Amino acid sequence: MQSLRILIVDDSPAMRAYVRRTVQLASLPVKTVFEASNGQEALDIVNAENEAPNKLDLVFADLNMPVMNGEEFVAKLRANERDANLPVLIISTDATQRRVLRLRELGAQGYISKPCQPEMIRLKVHQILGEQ
Amino acid sequence: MPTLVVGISDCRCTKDAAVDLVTYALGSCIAVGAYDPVQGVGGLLHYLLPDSRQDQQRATQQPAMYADTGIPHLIRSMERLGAQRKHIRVRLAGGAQMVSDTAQLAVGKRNQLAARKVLWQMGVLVEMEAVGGMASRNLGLKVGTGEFWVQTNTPAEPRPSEPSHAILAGAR
Amino acid sequence: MTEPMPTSDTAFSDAPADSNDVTLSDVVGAARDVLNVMFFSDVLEDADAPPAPRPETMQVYVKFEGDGVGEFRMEIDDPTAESLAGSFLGAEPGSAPSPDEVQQVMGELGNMVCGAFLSRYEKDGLFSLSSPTIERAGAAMPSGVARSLQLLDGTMELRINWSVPVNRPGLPG
Repeated sequence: MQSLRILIVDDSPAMRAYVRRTVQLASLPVKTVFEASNGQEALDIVNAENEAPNKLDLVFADLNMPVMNGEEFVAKLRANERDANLPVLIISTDATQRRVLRLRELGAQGYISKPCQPEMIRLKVHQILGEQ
Repeated sequence: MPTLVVGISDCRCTKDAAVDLVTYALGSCIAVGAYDPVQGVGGLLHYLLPDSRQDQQRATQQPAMYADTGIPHLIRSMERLGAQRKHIRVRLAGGAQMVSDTAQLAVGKRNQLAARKVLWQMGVLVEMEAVGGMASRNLGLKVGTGEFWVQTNTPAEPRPSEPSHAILAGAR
Repeated sequence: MTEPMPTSDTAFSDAPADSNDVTLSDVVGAARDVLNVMFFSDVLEDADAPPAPRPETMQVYVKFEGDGVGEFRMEIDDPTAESLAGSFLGAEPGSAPSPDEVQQVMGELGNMVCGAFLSRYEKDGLFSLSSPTIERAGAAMPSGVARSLQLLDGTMELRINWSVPVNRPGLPG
């Protein structure tokens, strides 16, 4: 794992702060943390960053967000071949089985249901980035 | 190889690679084992209660008695020996529900919540934990290798103890 | 499960009284989970909540729709909110989070308790939640489940009101 560029997508500033703190404490070589408060803002950041040579390495995304929700974001991201392999880790309160299955079909790499300990986030990040 | 036994409401830190740190009979108490693999600094705390606000004078004399004074004391003592917070790996053991404990007090659970709260405040994530349940535990750390071990005791029904190097239950 | 079956003509009325017991244990359990895991707090006891919110409380609303439609509300007094927000953010003792941060964290707490409740109540359901809104002076909510929780850090009230209850026999859809 070299220096990581990470995007956190959540309409809750508190949750963005929680994930950011976790990522910073998790002994991950994080270089840059981008933040977006909905799926559309996130797509804009992905489009700007992934045209550059240093692409994003991982996206954390919430589901329930205004403007563009997490499912639509993942679907739109996967529709672009360039970003087909950009790992997306969903962190959401919505832990129903139907939702998780749907997200897997859409192409999300991982799912964490809230409430979650920071150690769970760290574990999933290591799993996803380790598999690459 | 010298074994340094950490008693209740006690905290020991060392850079001596020949030392094993160990604490026994963790009931509702929590042991916090910590290790910086870069500097080879180990530390072990065995605290009794979650919150020092109930007796601040006592906490000044004996910070290792409470989670909110003992954990900062452990981490800072290790830092004085050269450890860096970002390298420190932490494991927890104990926090069991003992027979004398009532649901209302739930000392074991309070102790576990307090450990996680103070460590999150201090910016240290927990690597693994063996907490809760009904059995008492022992926790040890080989400072020379950074190897932790946990032993779960089953006093009610004498039988061969579980492997002394039992794998710690993964963090929830 | 021996749930009474709400028929289509019960839509837009409150959930049947018997299902309130299920709702009750699910809402308290959801709160306990969220408080334990991300706020290092716990529910010590719970009791019926007064019909109207206590004065001097922050009120967090989350609306939900999907397999059922309703509203969740959490009421919390300022010292409790500040203490919980500090825990969530990892604030050092003695450094209080800003009023904005407290509101943001309480919004997130309300959102998580509501989401955790719905996941418990209807494991196979699909719901979408509104972004939490925060008010100071709330009115009494229409009848539904209302619970007052004594926490390690203080007190909070939780209320759930279904305008369209989940139609359990209709699942899976």
